[in-house]
Amino acid sequence: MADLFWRSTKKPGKSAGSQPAPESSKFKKYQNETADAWDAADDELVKGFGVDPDASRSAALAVLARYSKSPKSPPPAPQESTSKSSSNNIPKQKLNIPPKENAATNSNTEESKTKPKSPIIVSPGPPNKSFTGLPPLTDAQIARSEKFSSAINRDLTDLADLRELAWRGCPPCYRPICWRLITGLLPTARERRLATLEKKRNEYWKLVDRYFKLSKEPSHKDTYHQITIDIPRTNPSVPLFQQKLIQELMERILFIWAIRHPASGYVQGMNDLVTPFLHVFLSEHLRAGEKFETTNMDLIPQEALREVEADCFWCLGWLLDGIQDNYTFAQPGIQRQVSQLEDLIERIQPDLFQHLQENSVQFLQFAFRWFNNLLMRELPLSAIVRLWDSYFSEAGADERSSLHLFVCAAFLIHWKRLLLDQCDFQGLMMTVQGLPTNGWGESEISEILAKAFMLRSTYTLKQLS
Amino acid sequence: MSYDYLFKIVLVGDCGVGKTQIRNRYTLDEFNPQSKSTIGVEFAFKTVNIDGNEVKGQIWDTSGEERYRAITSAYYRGSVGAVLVYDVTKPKTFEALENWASQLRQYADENIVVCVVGNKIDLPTREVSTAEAERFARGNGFFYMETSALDGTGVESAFRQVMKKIFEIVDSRQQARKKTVRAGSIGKTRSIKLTDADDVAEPSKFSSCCKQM
Repeated sequence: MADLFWRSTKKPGKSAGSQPAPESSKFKKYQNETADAWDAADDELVKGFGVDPDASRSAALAVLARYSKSPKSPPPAPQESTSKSSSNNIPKQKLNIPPKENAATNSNTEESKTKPKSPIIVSPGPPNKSFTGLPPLTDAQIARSEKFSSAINRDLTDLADLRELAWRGCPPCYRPICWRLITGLLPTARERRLATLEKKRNEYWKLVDRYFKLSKEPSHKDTYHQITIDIPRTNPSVPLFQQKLIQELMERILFIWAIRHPASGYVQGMNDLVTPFLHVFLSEHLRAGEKFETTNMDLIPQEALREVEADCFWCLGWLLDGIQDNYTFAQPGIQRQVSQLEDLIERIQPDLFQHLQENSVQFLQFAFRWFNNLLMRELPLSAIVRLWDSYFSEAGADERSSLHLFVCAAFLIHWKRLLLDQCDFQGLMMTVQGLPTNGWGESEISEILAKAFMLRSTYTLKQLS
Repeated sequence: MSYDYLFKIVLVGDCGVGKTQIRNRYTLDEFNPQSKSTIGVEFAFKTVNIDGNEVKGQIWDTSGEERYRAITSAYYRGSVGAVLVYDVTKPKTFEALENWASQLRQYADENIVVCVVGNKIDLPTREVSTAEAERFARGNGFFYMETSALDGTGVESAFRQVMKKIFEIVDSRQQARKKTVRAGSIGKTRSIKLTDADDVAEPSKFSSCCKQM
């Protein structure tokens, strides 16, 4: 996926070779202009960004060579970063945390200077050897890499810039930090990142200490029971998810989230929504050549797992907070979106719409889970992760939901031929509930996103009360 | 493939009792231990022969998730049969049957044919006795069957029993004219209703889920 990721993304077409990267305020315009420029050569992309390919390549190779010599230690943070990440150099009022916690954080920070830690805070280079096992980087990849590195390593990351980059997909090694920044888990100010992250992680574990015992209480037993039924059924074909450590981790995340959100509580499907975050944050701790699917959790340091769990919790919360009306009583968010999808298809593809109608297929019958599980039942996990890069490039929850809706429309339209070939309710339902997306990766997702983007710039959604 | 009747049958019951496994065992003769929870509803179909008639069962495998109920209860409409599943090793899923039965009474055809199914009898940890479950079923006018989706015991007969009973109701009224319709020909549809005097409804009256082609 990492290889494909770089190639078939949207590329600056008209602006290639002549303009620098557009300003973030012109993002939408930029997207419009570039949406159709799919086949520009990689070289053009590099030129378009005004990056010298040779310089990029040699820089990247130097980085890779350095990490491959000491695969187990994280990339050394640049001098400047190290000093900035130490709270000794930061005025206390800037950290915005109580003195007591500050002291605790302080010691953790000191510790982090001596103890190898994950490189997520300040130096998001390829974090371990597993990334060096990939095929050599192309010029375009190097150029993109540089863009991410520069956006992330700024003293104050411009989220609009980062989102703009994320639209075309995050390089796997930058994805964890990119997602943490976009979801607000990491602050944009680089000097505050380490302290904030430590604080959030501690906060999560305090919640666990305080609330997880409620899972045994009669008032929460049903919620906990439902979570424990669903967790073993989460991606059951992926061995990782059958491991006790992962299942317990998911239990805590989902239970704590559920009892803090009584309006919706836990609803089936939320278990699926944890997995992309797990995929991304665990990737920082995989060893060379190790696959996410078959990782042995027992070999990952406990402290690392605790960090992954906390990060997944906060990011899941961020995602769910924006779509909570999908999960409240009668699921109004889903009903609205299914109705909007139906209305869109009627306008965009009247023949497909009519075909479904004539065969008595209702949108709710197949699209319910497209919204309840954000297409996670329809696409492979790695494809979802790539899709979410683009979702996260949206400025807010409403925009993310709108993009998802147009992605669903593009997804349905993608299968139009296959669906039109089905001549009855049975054929249509069996087809639409088992669409053949097994081999889907970067190129298919990019195609769907391009289509969704084009549709969104052409059609408006039906407004529903 | 042609058939004479189309019966819509819903599979309901608490989460994790094995509804999807029962559906897969019945329609595919498969048991997949790596099955995911059902979100909303999933469909499956199987055609069987009853007294010389080709009867297609349209199985609506619903999720047991409480939160979906507001949306999925609409799926009960037009169903003429229900397989109401509990797990013989989990008394709570048996106790929930009362609630499921009342859901069916509220949203499905009032004369819906119901078979209560105690699943997972292959497990050694049974906690609900056959007598207890039979008593519940009898009291409500339901059939009772015990199954193991794992080894297949009872699954076929549970569905057959439901389909046969529906067929008998329809047949005894002598309202259902035998009419073979070629699959794929749009418009020539017929649904089976148990309440109405005319079992063969006009196409325009059909709920969308009961279309036959």
